[in-house]
Amino acid sequence: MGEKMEKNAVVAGVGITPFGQFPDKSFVDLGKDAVKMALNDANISFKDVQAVFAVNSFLFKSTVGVMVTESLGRTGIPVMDADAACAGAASVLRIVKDLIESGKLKSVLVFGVEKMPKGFMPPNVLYNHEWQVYMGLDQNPMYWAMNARRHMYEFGTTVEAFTKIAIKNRANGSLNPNAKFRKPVTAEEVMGSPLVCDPMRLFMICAPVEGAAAVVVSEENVATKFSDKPRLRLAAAVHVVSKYPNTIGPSICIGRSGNPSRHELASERAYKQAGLSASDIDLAEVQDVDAFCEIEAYEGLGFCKKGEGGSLATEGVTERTGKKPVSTDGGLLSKGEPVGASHLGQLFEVAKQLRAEAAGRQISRKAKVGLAHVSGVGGHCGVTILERID
Amino acid sequence: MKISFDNAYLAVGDNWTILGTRCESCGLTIFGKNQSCENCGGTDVREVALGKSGTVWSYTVQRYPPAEPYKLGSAKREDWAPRVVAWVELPEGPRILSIVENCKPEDAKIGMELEMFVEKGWENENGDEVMVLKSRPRNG
Repeated sequence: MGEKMEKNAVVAGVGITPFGQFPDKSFVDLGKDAVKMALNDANISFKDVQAVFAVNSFLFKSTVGVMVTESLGRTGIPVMDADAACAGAASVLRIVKDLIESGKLKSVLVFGVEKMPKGFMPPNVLYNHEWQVYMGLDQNPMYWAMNARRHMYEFGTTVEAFTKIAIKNRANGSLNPNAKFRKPVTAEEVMGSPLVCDPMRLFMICAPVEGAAAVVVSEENVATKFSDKPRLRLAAAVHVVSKYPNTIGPSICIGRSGNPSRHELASERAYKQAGLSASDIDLAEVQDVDAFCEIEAYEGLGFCKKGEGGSLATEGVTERTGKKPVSTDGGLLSKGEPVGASHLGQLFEVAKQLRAEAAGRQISRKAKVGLAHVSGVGGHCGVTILERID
Repeated sequence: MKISFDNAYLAVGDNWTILGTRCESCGLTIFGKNQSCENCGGTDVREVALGKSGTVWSYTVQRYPPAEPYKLGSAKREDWAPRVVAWVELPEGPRILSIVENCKPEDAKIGMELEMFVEKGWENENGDEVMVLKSRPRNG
């Protein structure tokens, strides 16, 4: 009596490859590199994994999960593939958390991998209306830019705030060996970079890249048996699709609805699930596909009131040395975004920070709780929270 | 023959109509003909004609040509002229995505009054003229 039936799900291991362009590496090579690193980090072997979830959006292959893992062993376990655009990995973690906590499985491997062309994402993958592609209304930065412009109009948010975020994230990225862009940028360089979709300039927008990342999620007692590393509780794993309106691609109609944004919807559920609030978050990784989206995330995640996100950036609150560090690994602006792997890459950083293993980019304040947030086409949104068990 | 770019959004003929759906449950009107409401999932909906003028709710300037297959002109970098794209708020409430013609990037602003119009976008494989919906400044 009194024994807790529910188990704790913990992130037992994390792995990542550099993000960038790797013409000499196949997606199988990349995926395996990240998977092996995560297994080593958890100190378990592939035969101890009881299920695999593989995430990608741009590989156009059937059963990527098997292609990547078959050489590690055909051990007779389920290997599934998933896609929810930028929130693919979050959509899987939501299920994995339940599988572990209910006692159904002991250890699950989740990995994401992408090979993506440079430049704007191929629209036919993301846009369902053929005419929208024929009319050229299919560039993702266009949506971000219109949301940014409206925010400037309603709240007085400045281009300086967007610039500040680009500078902050690229400075953090210069300390991350896995980032695509490792050179810090100045305000002059950001403002001197070409306009893509006004007011967004090239250095305020992330790049699609190739890469892979992986995590091993285990039941707490199992993780403890294999490794004496700090245990990171998977405190929340939420995935939602936005209520009306979806304000990003490929939406063709938005309107006043009174509904919470996808960020609010996901983060409120995540805080409730974790028994935590926004003020408990010591560091965060967010969907900074462009500099404005990071501001939108600050507000949607409850780090500040609506309209005050720009000030959070300009006042330095979210710098690595600030009170609420965001994108300590350089964010998507430095790393680039391998869509299916991106969220797991964020969790790699959160885990490293919580375990105080982030080397030169380790934040100075003591971190116990970290959050990762993703948001993508179709209105997909995910929030995952890790909490160090002391 | 003139046909619509999408019969769910635009009816063409002697006259043309922008199509919308009004939901009797939640009261919202949304662009396009639909069997249920995108906001609340309600099925007590009716087809409505949307107003043909509106205001800019937000906008951007598309500085780079879109990816192929683009059909409104050339998608070559050297041929591309920056164009204004907006969320246009129609009188019934929906904000619809639209190319704004006859508007220099520096003249675009939030609140600007626009009129919707229809013109030939491209020809399909049957030789039909595919009519598309666009907007332009009301006094432009």
